[in-house]
Amino acid sequence: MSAIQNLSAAPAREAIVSISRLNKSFGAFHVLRDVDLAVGRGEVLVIIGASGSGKSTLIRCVNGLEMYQSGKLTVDGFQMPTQADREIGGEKELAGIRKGVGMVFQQFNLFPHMSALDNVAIAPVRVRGRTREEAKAIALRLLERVGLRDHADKFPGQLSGGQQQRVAIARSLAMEPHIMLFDEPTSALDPEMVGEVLDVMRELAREGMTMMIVTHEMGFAREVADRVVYIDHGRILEIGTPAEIFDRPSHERTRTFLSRVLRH
Amino acid sequence: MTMQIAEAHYITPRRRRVLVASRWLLQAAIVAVVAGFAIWLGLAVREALARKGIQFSFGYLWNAANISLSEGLSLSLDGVWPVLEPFSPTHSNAQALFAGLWNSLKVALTAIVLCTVSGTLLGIGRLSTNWLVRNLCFGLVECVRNTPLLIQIVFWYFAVVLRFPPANAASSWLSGVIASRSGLFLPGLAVSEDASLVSLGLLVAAVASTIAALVMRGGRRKLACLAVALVALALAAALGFPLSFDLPVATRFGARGGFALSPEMTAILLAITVNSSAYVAEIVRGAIDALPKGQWEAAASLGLSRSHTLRDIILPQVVRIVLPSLANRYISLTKDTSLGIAIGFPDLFNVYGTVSNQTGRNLEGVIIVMLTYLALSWIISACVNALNARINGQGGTR
Amino acid sequence: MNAVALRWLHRNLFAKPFDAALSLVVIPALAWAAYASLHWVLVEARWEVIGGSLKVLMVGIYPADQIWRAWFSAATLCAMFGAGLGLAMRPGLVALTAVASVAVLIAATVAAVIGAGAGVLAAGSAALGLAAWSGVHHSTRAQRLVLPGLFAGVAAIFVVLSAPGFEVWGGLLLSIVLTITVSILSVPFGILLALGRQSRIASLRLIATAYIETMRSVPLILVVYWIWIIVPLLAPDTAVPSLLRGMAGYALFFAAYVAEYVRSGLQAVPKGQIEAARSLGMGTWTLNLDIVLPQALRVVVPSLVGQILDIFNGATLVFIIGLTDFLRAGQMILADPQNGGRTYEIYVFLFAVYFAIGGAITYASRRLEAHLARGSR
Repeated sequence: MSAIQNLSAAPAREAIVSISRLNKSFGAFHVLRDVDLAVGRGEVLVIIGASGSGKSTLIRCVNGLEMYQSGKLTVDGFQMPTQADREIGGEKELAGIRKGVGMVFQQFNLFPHMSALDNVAIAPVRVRGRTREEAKAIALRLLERVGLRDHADKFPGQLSGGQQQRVAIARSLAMEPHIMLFDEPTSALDPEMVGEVLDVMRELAREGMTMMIVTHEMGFAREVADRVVYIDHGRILEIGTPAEIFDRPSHERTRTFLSRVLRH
Repeated sequence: MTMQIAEAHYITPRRRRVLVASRWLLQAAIVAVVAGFAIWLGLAVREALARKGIQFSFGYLWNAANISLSEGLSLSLDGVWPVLEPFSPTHSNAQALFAGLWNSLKVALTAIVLCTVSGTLLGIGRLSTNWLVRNLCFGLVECVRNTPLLIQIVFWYFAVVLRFPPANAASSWLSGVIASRSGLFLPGLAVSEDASLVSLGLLVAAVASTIAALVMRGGRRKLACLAVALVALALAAALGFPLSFDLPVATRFGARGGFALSPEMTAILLAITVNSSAYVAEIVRGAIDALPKGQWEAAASLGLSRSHTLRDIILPQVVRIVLPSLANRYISLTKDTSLGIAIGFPDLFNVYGTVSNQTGRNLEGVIIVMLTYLALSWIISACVNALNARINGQGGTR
Repeated sequence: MNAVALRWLHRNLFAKPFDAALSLVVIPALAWAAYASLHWVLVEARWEVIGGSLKVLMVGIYPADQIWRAWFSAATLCAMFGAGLGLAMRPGLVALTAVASVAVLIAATVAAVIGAGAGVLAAGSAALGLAAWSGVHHSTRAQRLVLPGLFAGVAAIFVVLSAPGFEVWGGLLLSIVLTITVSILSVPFGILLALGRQSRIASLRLIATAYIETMRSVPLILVVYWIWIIVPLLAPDTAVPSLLRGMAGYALFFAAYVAEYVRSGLQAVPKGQIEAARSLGMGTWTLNLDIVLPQALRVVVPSLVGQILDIFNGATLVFIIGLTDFLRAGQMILADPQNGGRTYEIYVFLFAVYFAIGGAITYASRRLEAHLARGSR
């Protein structure tokens, strides 16, 4: 795993994700409108916004789980499929790109019929073609890293939500991704388990992993983000450093959103 | 690290063309393989039949059947209007198949009505507060569901119906039901010989407007229809009522009169009704169990009695849940009539077998029978869906 | 104690006036029915007819000098059932005692009716089954061998039984072997149909849907009969035995039902599972084989076990292609004028055996369902 310890706040780095004039709608519902965004290598980008504002859809597009109608979205130099490409398929190529993109879901989505160890080891075996022993070694190392080595043989149903989410992070890391996407990773957790997951993410950020994070944890966002994006009704309203967004928001909308969220 | 490839699409244009082409090719290949298999099958069967001197054609349908069926009405085109009349060997093969269909439908429709009623009762019995009733119903359902339908049919036929007393010795129960080994005789309605056409017409009008009253929406229209029905009925009665009860009587030469069911029909009707009742009971019980407990508790907190809760709160909701499962059960039940062949009941499948044996035309026959069963399934689904839409439309607020 | 019993009676039988009235009607009727049937079973019924025709009921017209083949099959079947039981149920003291005492009872009956040798063979088969039960339950290595073992067992039964020809198979043995074979054959075909119905390729979807819907709309007896008729027309030079033609018909028919169960299982797999697998870069094959199907099939297992009962019950329809299954064997015995008066004895015996086997299958299916419901929590 390459660790680029470059933590300058400037957004102008070599872009790993670049998005321009992206539009996405579900039927008549226009979810994303003319989104422009670039994510640099090693950057931690946090996306905030009200629920239904389109922030989850945005990072799902980055992984090709959703397809967009118009605009351009490239990941690692490859243009991701549009709605029109859906008919063609090309799952193999898409899978090739996804190998480099890790994703952590709100509902963990661990495979319930496999132990924690197998959850982490399956993709290296099936996708990267590693032997079982190699994959097991990788998986154990990663479980160790998220503090769950002792739980390697447990099944998801036997783990707490926080533990499941940490396994899910280890599972994504096993593919050695260039970028990690987090879709509200702590929203489904009981409050006392949020911390352990955020700790793991903080550690990842420190190691220089490129991350796009959708979250409602404003304290965490302020702490780890290089830049914060505020999305409102499918439009990017503001981009800036945490200090700019949280302390001197330039939009009235951002201000009301933050005051509503931070009051709790 | 990764090479920076500037702005490549996730699939190359070339690969894209390959994918598009292969998609179409795959579609075409699948269609070709399946169509080829179907055509090969058809041709091979036709050839095999041709070797036996049989040409594929539906023309045989219009030839005389030369078989006799123990029961069944068929359509004949004597004059301008098609009339229903008992099947006779001089009728055509098509008419034989129609008679088989008639018999199948006769059993299926009667059994659908009977098993819905008795199955619902049995299902409610499964939830009775009375321990004995609850477990008795449970035992009945389990016994029926865990044994083959066929053994139930042959049991009803050989061990029950054929063990009834002979018709001349049969006692009649409940004023006019005679159960004998030559069949079941129920009181029937008969048109009196001296009935005038006018009074008959009035009676038909009364029935029609009663049905209209049931179907109509809106209280006033319903009332109007009912009033018409009453007036027509009264007029018909005044002109000399055209219908009379026709009670069967046991004579020395067997029972006669009334509405007679053959022993085969009696056995298969009993077997299928009892069998399907058990399944309907499970459907109904499952639906009642699936309702949130809160419904019972809410009703109880309003002071409704258990029976009122059941009638006013639970059953209306249950009806919506059970309809799709009931539709499946009705379709299975209709298919079950094909087991009539085991006891010589001339249902559609049985007649198909007989006609095919006579003519050697299995291929044509099986196409007709398959299409008929498909159509029956569709009709049942469509009816239940329509009912479902109607009920849900009326329910409104849910 | 008495007070407890009274309270139970009050609560369960006479809680309300309506309940009390029901009880007053049902109790005498039930008592009379119980008395009448007990009296018939113990006093009136002439059970010798069962003993005299046990061989026909069990194996039909299978040649008497080849009967060891049937015993081999019975022993293999017992071992297979035991192994299956080992996967689903702990051989606890109560369950083990219950099954063992039933086995002893059967062995003793067989010994009394047919002879000591047969009794020993029956007891041996049962012991084999019990051994397989506890063996599979206690050894994970044995558990891994169960599925291959089942296939091997069925194959062995076919090889051993087929020596005198397929035409002589009959009785309960035929019903059971047919049921097991069809249960196994219909599953892979059903899975393929279900995947076809969910496929992205429109023509495949259409064909699978048409097949499934047609099969589900026509009666089993029509399919079995027609496949039986059609095969000799397609292959006039090879004489395919009726039994194999029949099995093909059953498998083609029940595959459509398997497909529908599997489809509901596929739909029960949460969308997030597929997204997670895709986001790891898994291709379509890995996704289906490693992630979707294992989860879908797990949900479907109780329904598939339940369907074994449908197949077993449907196996009675083989009379249409001239085979002698358990029910047909019973009817054949009744056709013998010397057994004319024994209708009820034969039917009661047939019902009892069918109910015992059917009830066991239902019980297994329900247990699996409860087990899975607990596991998924």
